[in-house]
Amino acid sequence: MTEDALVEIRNLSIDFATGRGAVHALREVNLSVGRRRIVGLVGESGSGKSTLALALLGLLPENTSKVTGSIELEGKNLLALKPEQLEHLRGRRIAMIFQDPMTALNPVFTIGTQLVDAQRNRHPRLGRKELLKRAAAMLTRVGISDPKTRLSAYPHQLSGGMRQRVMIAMALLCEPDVLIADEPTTALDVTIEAQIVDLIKDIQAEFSGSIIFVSHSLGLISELCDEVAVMYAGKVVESGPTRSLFERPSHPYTQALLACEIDPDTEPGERLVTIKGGLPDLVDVPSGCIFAARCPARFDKCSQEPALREVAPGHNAACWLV
Amino acid sequence: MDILRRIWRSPSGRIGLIATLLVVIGGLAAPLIATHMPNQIDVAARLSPPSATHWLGTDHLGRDLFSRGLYGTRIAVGVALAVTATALFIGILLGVIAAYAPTPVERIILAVFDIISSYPSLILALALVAVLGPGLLNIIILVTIVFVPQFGRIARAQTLTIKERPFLEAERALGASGSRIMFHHVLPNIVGPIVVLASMNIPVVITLEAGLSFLGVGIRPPLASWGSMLFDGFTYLEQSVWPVLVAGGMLTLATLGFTLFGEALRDAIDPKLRREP
Amino acid sequence: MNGFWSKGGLARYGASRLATAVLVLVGSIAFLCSLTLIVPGDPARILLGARATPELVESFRQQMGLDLPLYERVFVFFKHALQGDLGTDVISGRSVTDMVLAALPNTILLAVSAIGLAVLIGIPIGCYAAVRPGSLLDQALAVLSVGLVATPSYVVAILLLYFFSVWLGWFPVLGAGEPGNFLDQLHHLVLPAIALAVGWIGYIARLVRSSLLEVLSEPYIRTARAYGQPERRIVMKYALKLACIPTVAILGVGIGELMGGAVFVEVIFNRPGLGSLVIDAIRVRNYPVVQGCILIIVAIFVLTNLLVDFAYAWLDPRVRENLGRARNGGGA
Repeated sequence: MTEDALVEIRNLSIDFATGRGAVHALREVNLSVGRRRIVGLVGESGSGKSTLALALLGLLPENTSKVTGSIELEGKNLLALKPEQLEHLRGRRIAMIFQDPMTALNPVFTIGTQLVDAQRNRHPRLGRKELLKRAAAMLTRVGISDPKTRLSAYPHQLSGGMRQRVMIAMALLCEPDVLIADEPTTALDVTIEAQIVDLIKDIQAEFSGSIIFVSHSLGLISELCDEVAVMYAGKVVESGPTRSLFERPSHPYTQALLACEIDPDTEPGERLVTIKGGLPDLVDVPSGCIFAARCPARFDKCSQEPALREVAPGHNAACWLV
Repeated sequence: MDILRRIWRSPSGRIGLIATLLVVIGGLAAPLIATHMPNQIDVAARLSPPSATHWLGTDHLGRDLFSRGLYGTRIAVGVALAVTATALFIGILLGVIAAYAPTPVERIILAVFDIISSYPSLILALALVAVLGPGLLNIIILVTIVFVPQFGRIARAQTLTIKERPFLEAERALGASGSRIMFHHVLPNIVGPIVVLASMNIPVVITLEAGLSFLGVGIRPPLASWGSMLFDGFTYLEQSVWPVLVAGGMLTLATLGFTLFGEALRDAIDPKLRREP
Repeated sequence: MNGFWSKGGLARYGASRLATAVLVLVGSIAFLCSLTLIVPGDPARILLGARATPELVESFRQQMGLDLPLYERVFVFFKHALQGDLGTDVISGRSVTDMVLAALPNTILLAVSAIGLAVLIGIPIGCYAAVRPGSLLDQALAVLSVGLVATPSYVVAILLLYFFSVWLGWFPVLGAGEPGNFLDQLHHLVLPAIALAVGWIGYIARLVRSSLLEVLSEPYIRTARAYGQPERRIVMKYALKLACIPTVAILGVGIGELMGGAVFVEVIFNRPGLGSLVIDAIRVRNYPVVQGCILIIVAIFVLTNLLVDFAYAWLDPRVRENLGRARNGGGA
């Protein structure tokens, strides 16, 4: 827990109410995001990473039944803020790039209108013309040619890659302190994905804030992020500087994830590596280590939930084997 | 009957079922329950409010409103059933023919459907009434015409889906005759959506017929159609509200009942057919 | 508005809708003309009824072109109609066109007022019910709308007339008011317009409510919230525009029912207009007048649907992409 962290998440637990009972989506998650750092959140679907991202913005769904712990932005607990105060922060100090740009953009308004409206919180005094100019400049910056035409276009008239660039532009226009990218390339083709990743790398050099990059792909995370937190079934199982984590993956889940990544040197005909089993039930959470059921290295101590243990400076893993 | 049970469970379905039963039983039992003959004139008691002898009051000729209301049920429901049955028959016939017939025939049938259904129903009814003239039989005929396209289109659509199914090919290969295929396979499959449509149609027919009668171009007095009762009552509205109230009340009860019942039936048979709001 | 008119596609769309509209109109006329074939016996004599003197029968026959084969009759009728001649009144000999044109403004006034009322009251109620689901208003809306939609419109109209005009005496019972006296005419318009609008208000409110609820749960609304847009602007600007699209669509179809409702309201409130005209004509078997009225009513219906189609394209840019693709069914 660094002292000058921009965002400090402590013991965050979130429950959702469903027909079957309360789903414990996040269980005592701790995370620290330093200034000008890029932190990656990696995990499979259902790991809770998107829930964490939404919690930062205060955009949890209606059926959220319990939120405990704290999310501090420069010392202020976001969970204790009133809705108007949260509204004030969104689009000014925190901005988010959503996963599917087609559904994230309003189909009946032009790109220009949406980009202008997104900036209103940040620059309440600027007029529409001024905001459009800024938007056009930013569109060029994110690699969209002919910005003037694009501003008058509607979302369905743009390709998937362009729409995502628009979403990135939208977030950058707010000049936020924290930029959250929630699986920004998941909905795109691989070739477009590569372009977007290059764009993000390009942007990050001049970006003065912190980035939280959520993904299920370790490959992307390794390319972009300074630090990584690996999540599984609502808990952070391993976290640390990217280099250290990839050189010495210590939690069996991390090791398994790495093994699953398709290696270009794989011989055709070789079986792909998978992790046997499925996610545990998040309503009736089993006790002990959450990964134990699927862990190839489990032993009897695993019936107790392991605390985070240090692997290397700044690098921790929640496993008795460390 | 599982379907009835499902209908009973929803509150609106329950209301619909009760109202519908009230109306239908009232109509069937009219000769037994009615206190007077529907056309019995008693000028001395004209336009009187409810009393011990006339439970719901009298109209401008002294006829008992309660009895006329009950007998009106027979006309309303009777016309609705006649119209629906006939429209069903013709509609299914034309629809199935359209599905099997060569293209020119199909085109013509569809064009006729389109033209008829492009008219607002009241307007079409008025045009037909202008030509045919009023009266019970004519009303049945022209309202039937108004509703044929709906049934026809569904029948055709369902037949088209069934037509190409492999098991029919198999039957044909085994030498089954066309009519066997038609009756044994095609028709039973059409039944579902059509039954629902027919039940939701009944209140619409009742409303249309009563409306035409109210305008004076439908079923004429002295026949006790609720519409014609409204027509009579409206003329004397300032002197007594009861004729209008009874006729309007019965109409509302019937339409509300059949509508709620029809919706509950639809939901019970196939919730997929539901559309908001 | 971005490229709304610029794309050739929209012109194609407009042309195809127009063509469909014309086809429907022609089909309707053909249908109207062919109706006289249904009449058993000699159409002229039957339609004229008791007034059938030989001269009248002959002139009627000529006017309706009953000797001509069907397609010629349609053609002749069309030719006359385009020249503004819709035939002559069998009884008074007046030009049907004159009669119809005199009655038309009243009906349009009534219809527009009713739609205006329904939209102005229905949309806000629907909005409120969507933003505060489960509230008293929402529940009241749910119950009332079912009841009102099922009740025949003329019953509601008669009850309104009785309650507010006869019993309370707040509104006049008959007519459209003194010509030239705006306030008086307005006074006469209120109750009929309300009577016509009542069923619609409930329906529109429910429609707006459900489509607004649907829109508000869409991802792009979440994006707007993520950028700190105030909730009010989100509902009014972003959500509402989308939620109104289905409302516009049903307006098109509903015009037909509205016209039917207008007939009842005009008769019940004794207002001049196409409705009263056509009913009176039917009662006395004045067939040319009936034909002329119905033609105009159908023309209005078709025209309104055309306008609705354009409004639809204006509201939803995605629809403009599907331009030129023929829609099935002519009209309703």
